[in-house]
Parts: sequence; C-alpha cells; structure tokens
Amino acid sequence: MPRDILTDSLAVLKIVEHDDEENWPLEDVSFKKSNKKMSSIPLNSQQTYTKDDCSCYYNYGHGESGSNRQQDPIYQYKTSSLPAASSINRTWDDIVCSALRLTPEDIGNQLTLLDLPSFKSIKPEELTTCGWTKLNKLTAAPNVVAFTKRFNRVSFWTVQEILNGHSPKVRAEILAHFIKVAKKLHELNNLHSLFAVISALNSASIYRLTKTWACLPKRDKQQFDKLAELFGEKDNWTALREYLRSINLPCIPYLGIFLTDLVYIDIAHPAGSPHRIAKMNVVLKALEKYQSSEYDITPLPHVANYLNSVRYIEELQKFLEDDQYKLSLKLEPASPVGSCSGSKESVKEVLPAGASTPFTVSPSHKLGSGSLRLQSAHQGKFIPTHRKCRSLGSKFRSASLPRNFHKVNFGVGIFGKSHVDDKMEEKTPAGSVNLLDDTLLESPSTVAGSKMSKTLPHTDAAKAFSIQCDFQGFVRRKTILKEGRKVSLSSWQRYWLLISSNMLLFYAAKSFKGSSRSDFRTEQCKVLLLDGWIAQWADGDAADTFQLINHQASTIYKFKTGSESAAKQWVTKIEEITNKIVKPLPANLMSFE
Amino acid sequence: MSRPGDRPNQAQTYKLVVVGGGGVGKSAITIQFIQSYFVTDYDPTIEDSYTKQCVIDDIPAKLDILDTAGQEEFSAMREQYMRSGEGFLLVFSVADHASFDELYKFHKQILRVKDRDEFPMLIVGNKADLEMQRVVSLEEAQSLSRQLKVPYIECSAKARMNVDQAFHELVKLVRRFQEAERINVKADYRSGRKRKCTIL
Repeated sequence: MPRDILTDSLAVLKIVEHDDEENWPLEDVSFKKSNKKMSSIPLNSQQTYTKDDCSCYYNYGHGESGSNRQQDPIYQYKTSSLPAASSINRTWDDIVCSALRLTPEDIGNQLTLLDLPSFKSIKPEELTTCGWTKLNKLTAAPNVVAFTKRFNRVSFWTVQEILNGHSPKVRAEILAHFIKVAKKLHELNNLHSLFAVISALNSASIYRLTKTWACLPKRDKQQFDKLAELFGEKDNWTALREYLRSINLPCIPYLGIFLTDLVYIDIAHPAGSPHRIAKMNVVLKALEKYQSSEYDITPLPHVANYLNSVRYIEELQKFLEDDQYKLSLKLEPASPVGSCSGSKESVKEVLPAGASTPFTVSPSHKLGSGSLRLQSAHQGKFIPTHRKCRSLGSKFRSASLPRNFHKVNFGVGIFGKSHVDDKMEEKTPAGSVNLLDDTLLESPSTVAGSKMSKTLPHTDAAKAFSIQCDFQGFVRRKTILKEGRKVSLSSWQRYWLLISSNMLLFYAAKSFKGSSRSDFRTEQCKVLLLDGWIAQWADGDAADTFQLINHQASTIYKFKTGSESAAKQWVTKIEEITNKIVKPLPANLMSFE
Repeated sequence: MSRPGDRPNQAQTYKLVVVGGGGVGKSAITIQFIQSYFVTDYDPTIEDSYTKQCVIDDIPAKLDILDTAGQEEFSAMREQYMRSGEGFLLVFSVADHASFDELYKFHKQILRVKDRDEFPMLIVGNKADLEMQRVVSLEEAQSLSRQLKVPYIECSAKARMNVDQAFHELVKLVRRFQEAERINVKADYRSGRKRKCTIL
C-alpha cells in the first residue's frame, strides 16, 4: 500500500519503517513464525501459482517490493475474456499480486492464519492495565496494538484495492470479490478481519462511490448488508455480542468491544474496588476461550507473503486516509445538487432532515434500490390509502417525510429522470400494474419512483394512518422461480410477514434466530402487492408450507409457516384479498408513451 | 428513531457519538452522564448501558450514546460508526495538547462522512479541574472553536462539572440543526415546484 502514497518519500519510508519494526518485535516474531511454518510445508509454490494463473484479471507491473511498485505507475487492467498472463514464469514471491488474483477462500483462510497467532499472543496483563490506552502502549500492551494494526492494515488494503479499479464496473468487481472474502471470514468466525473488510466498505472513500455500488450484483449487496448488520453499534453492539455468544470455536473475535468494556470497568471500578477483579475476569475468561482456537488451514506462502507485503506507516495513516479519499473523489466526483446522476447530493436532498434521521443505511441501499426501499431505509412508514390501487406509489407514503418532498426530488434524484404525466396516471385503470412483485421493488425503478412522486394525494390525513394489520406471523421464504428462472442457490430467509389491505409486508430478521415479532425489524424491507398472486398448497411439500405464485411475472415463492393451521390461515387470508381485487387489465394497457 | 408528532408519547431518540483521542476521559464523561454517581454494579456489556432519558428545554429526549473508548486504535472502523451519529462531542484533555491537535482530524472526518459543511458538534475540554497541568488555554480552545465554527465547553468528569450541560447543549444543537434542515427542504420544495411547473 505505501506504494501509492509515498511516492516521493522513500527515504522517510525506510527510516520510519525500520523504526516501526524495532517497535514491534512481537509482530515480527509472529511473521517469522508463520514463515517458518510455511517453509516446513513441502509445497511447490510454483505449482499453486500456475493453477491460479488462469484466474488472473490484472497484470500488475512486477517488482520485488512495495517500493518498486510505485515506480510502475500503470496497473494494466485486463478483462477476464483476455487470455491470462501466460508469460509469467516467476515464482509467486517475485510477482506483485493483487487481491483479484487470489480466490476469496484463499484470502480469508490466510488472513485468518495470520490473525490467529497475533490474537493468541495478547497477554492478560496488557488488558487488565488498559495498557493500550497509555502513552507507553508500545511497551505496556505491544500485542494488543499489533493486533489492532492488523485490523487497520486489512481495512486500508481493502479500500486501496477497490480504488485501484479504474471504472465503476471494475471497482464493483473488486468490491464483490471482497464481499466474498468477507463471507469466507464469516464462515471462519474470523470477526476481526471480517469487521476490517466491512469497515473498509463502509469507509467514506468507498461508501460514497455510488456508481460502483450501482454496478454491484444484487446478491452481493444483500450479502454485504447481512454481514454489516452484525457490526451495527446499535444498543451497545448487541448484534455482535449475541452472535459471539451463539457460535462455537474456532473464532477470532473483534477485540474492540472487549477493550471498551475493559476501559469502562477500569473507570467504574478503580483499582482496589471489590468488583474490579471479578468484572475484568469475565472479559479475560471470554478472550481466553477464544484464544484457544485452532484452525485447520493449509498455509499458502505466496498468499501470506502478499498479504504481509501490505504495510504502511502508522504515523502516516492520516495522509493515507486523505489520499484515498482524494482518489475516491477523483474517480467519482461529487455531482452538483439536483443532477440526475444519483449522486450523494441528491440522496442528501431526498432526506427530509438528513440529520434527523440517523443515516445508517448501507451504501447499497442508498441507490439502486426501489423507492420503497429508500423510504423504509429512512424509517418512514408506508401508508396504505385504500383509494388508488392502480399504482405502487399511490399506496404508500412516508409519514415522516415532509408532505411534498417526494414531489420535489424523486423526479430528478436517484430515480432518474422519467417524467410521467399526472393525467396519464389518473387514467390508468385500477389494478393494471400487475408485475409489481418485489423484484420490481428491489430493483431501481424509475417507473415506481416517478409514479410515487406524482400521484400521491397531498392530504394531511395520510399522516394519521398507520399500518393496518389484517394478519401476521413468522415465516421462512424461499424463492423457487424468479422471472421465469429457476433459482438454484435459494435459501430459506426468515421474515415477519404481515398482510395489510392488499399488500404483503416483509420485515427482515434482526438476528440469526428467533421467531417472535421483536426479532424482526420494525421497518419493512419488501412490499408485495397481492394483485396477480395466487396462494396455494404445494404438492408434495410439508404440511406447513404454501406457495405464492404470480403467473404473469413467472415467479414462485415458497413459505414455511411452522404449522399446518398457520399455512391454511395464510392461504385463506391471501385468497380473500386476491378474490376482492378486480381482475387486472392486461399489462400493455399501461403505457407511458 | 421516532419523531416528534410521530408518536407523541415517546421521546425522540438522539444518537450522540463521543469522539476523541485515547486517555482524554471520554468514558469518564459518558459514565458520569449516564450514571449520576458511580455505582458498583455498573455493567458496560449490557444493551442499555449507554442510554439515558432526560428532559431538555421541557422536551423529553432519549439519548443513545456511542462511546468507543478503548477502540481509538481501531481507526479504520471510525467512519462506519460516525455515519450513524446525529451529534458529536469532540473531547480533548486540557492537560494533553496532542489530544487537542487531534480534533481537526475528527472534525474533518465527521464532515467527510456526513458529506456536509457543518454538522452538530461540540468541543469539550475535559479535565478542567487539573488547572496546574493545563496546557491548552481557554483562549486557544476558543480560537479553535471560532475557526471550526463549533461551540466550546469546558468540563470535568471527575468534579462532575458541566457534564450534563455538554450533552444537553449538544442535543439543543442537534434539534436546531434538524429544524433548519426541515425548513430547507420545504424551501427547496417551493423553488423546486416552480421549476417543475414550467417543465410540465
């Protein structure tokens, strides 16, 4: 990483780096240790390399060290369709590697292998004295600081790798790659590096790259959102604490929350107070348990060497952050307010009181998601008006948003520039929108957005409404068929499902288990209009299962309710509603010129 | 988050974030505020250990305080948690000049994450009781306050001086800011509608 930042300060770099190494003897030991371990493995690194070679996307300028790389300004990008760099017959160690050349599994595995000894070397004395908060932290808590440094390095490396992509498409590819790395780290229970990667994607430099996020496949976005949820600081990091309690070893936890707890115990129970030792011991015991973790992973020296080559100087971290941010601005300049590019500004504008709403929405939600998603993200409420059933937009509006704000912004902001005539809307026959399943809601939909902006009655009465609940319960949902395509890798997703008027509202799960209302979010994540949908029993399925089918959209969802009677009730309720809905007119009647 | 008028009986929640270098006494300030006195069974690991209900300007408020004391070195995760904050206390120790110098960085980072030119923040000079060890003068701090356009308050967690005031002042700033935002959006709407009428 220093290669990109410190182009003109080589001398400084060497001196400080030397200094750095001196200060961090333990880290070096662990580094040597891992090297030793690696060399003891009779592994022909050359072979491994040739195997991976075909997956090359990048042909970086090759040098032996980070300092050489910076003299090689051009990182040539190769598309995957081009033949892989065939001329490379050096060993891995000589080749400057990039994250995309390695599989997410290898990166995740080797990061974990590097993290583990660093984590294990942390001593109880470093923790009980809160040594890492002191001026002499380097001597008082060297291993805590070294482990923390690993976190920052992984994070900055992730940011840099993504920013190395020249176009939004390429960056999205790298972004997706790192989401897969994150997934692997999650599988390994390496929450330390997992959080480092998540932090990188949530950093100002990456978060603001709206064009890049727009290119990211939806599945990857969802994966990221799910993983990021784990690290929400809400309610004193409840999600993370609960997750830590729920898993088995091996695990490398995120040390940060333990450090905060220790600092608080230190303040609340100063030395000599009776509870201090007992309280601290609880934290130490927990960490000790995690320190007994062992991973059965084969070391891959070339990957480890690459990951270890990612270094920078702590003292210059601030400049590194600044440079990354500047690069980010250069890659995707902030667009002027009111432009149609879906820029941050327009998002900001859309927010009624950007500040009054804690903007915790993940970047992937920020754009490229439907209007409803945006609203739910801003914690508005969907208001069924019961008056106009013809358009998606007419059914909902957020009580928390200023009455007319959607009219102002949606037409020009993140939803693109489609303008729909008001009169046209008025003429649109009821129920003619019959493809409004959640596939539409989830994808960027200019139609939905602009309709929303035009047809809403601007009545204050809407404010008085809250969500009407006709039936609700816990379900698991699986997508069987989506837009005519079989979904092969579909899994059961947990939702709180609610019928309101002619809509199905989905509430995403807060954690990985639980089936009561409180285990699910209070804002819905999806809304499905029941027009065009049929609920029925699935042949050959378990008795507690029913299907929701839309022939027009060629989409089938399967729902598990947990009991036969519940499934029956759901089907009956949905049938009641669909029978009431006027038979929709053909879709082609609704044309927008 | 609830809004006034949304659920009248429920106080609005404010997400306040305490930032500052290591050892400036962030955790002491937070504990002093949340607990009026040090109780022996304080448990920092439970869910609601960082929330407090209070009444500010006759309006009830629920303060949700995020204090990452002890995690200062995990600098890479800072921007992630800053994003959710609605108001920030920038804490330094008047007995540690380095912690004062660091405030520039935090200030810049917050504006960057929020993508704004200004945001509700309050500079808090802690350890004001240590008059003998003071290295940051009141004038110096006030000058920074003017420069960053962020109000300044001195407090002492140890002497329990101005701690509540700091949090309350920040909530007032957040309220003022959010009110201004709402008015801005309305103003934007008015001009926006005019523009749009000509288009249509």
